[in-house]
Amino acid sequence: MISSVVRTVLVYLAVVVAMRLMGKRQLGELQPAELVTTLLISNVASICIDEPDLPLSASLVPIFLITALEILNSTLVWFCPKYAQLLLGKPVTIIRNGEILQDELAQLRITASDLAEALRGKDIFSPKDVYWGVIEPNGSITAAPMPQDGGEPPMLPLLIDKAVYKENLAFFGMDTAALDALLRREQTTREAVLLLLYNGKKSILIQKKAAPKGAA
Amino acid sequence: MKRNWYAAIILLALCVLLFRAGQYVDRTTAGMQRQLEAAYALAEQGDYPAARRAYSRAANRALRSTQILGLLVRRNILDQLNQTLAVLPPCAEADSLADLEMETQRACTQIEQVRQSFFSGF
Repeated sequence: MISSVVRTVLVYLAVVVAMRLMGKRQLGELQPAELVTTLLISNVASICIDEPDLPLSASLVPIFLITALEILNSTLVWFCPKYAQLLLGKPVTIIRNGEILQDELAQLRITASDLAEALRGKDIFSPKDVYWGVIEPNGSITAAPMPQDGGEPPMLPLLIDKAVYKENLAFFGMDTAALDALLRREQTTREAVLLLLYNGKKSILIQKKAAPKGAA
Repeated sequence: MKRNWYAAIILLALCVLLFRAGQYVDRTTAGMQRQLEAAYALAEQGDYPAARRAYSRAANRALRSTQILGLLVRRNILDQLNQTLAVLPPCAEADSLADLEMETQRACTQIEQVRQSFFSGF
């Protein structure tokens, strides 16, 4: 009995330390890889509490190993956008200018009722009220409302950390050559841009990429 | 980027810990095996009092090692090994040499299971 109390306390402390080390990313909405990490840690943590026969190290070693791998993996994601896209996926546009893109819905295996439910969760009761709706890599929906009369349309991303949003480019009648021309006018390049937003009325926001703290 | 250092330190610490733990399991099980073989050799030579003492030393050593081994391998394997080692000293008699051989073999197999519990890959 005492052993199970001691084990529970130690595993609890180990999981708290592990979650703290992994940072706030782990506590927000989970990306697929983070969900896997969290599920694995919870299962591994319960092993040696459920089975007193197993050594404590059967839980503690995997918990800290998964923690270290998760931290290194998230760093790799940060440094390599292509790897990030492969691992986390990309946001998928499902509503464009009030129109549902049914092919994308089919590809994502999201039914119309799922979509309607997700929109209602955002206090939107008609897809016609959505200027741009996307399914984020973590499965949540993000919707930019249709501009009011005379109002400015919401800003859409064209370029985020070297990842080009080709469907948004196409929406504004642009291609990658036009994007590069736009960047040249701003005297910058794709590599130097962190975020480029555009709303069709030449409203552009460019943030230069800062060198990561501690990077050589 | 501080977290990367934490991750590297954790990985390094795990590697060192696992390496040292592996060394400990290897050394301890090899030592127990040698003690059992030596004790059985004494019994075969007919020196039963010395064999009993050697088996007792092996049993005590295993009991002492259980506290650390219990952190690294399955507890029930260690319990079985300790039970087997506990019956060995009384078996070191001229009229129970066959039992002694069988129980010594059993203890050796259980020591091998302790090793496998730590070192088996899958």
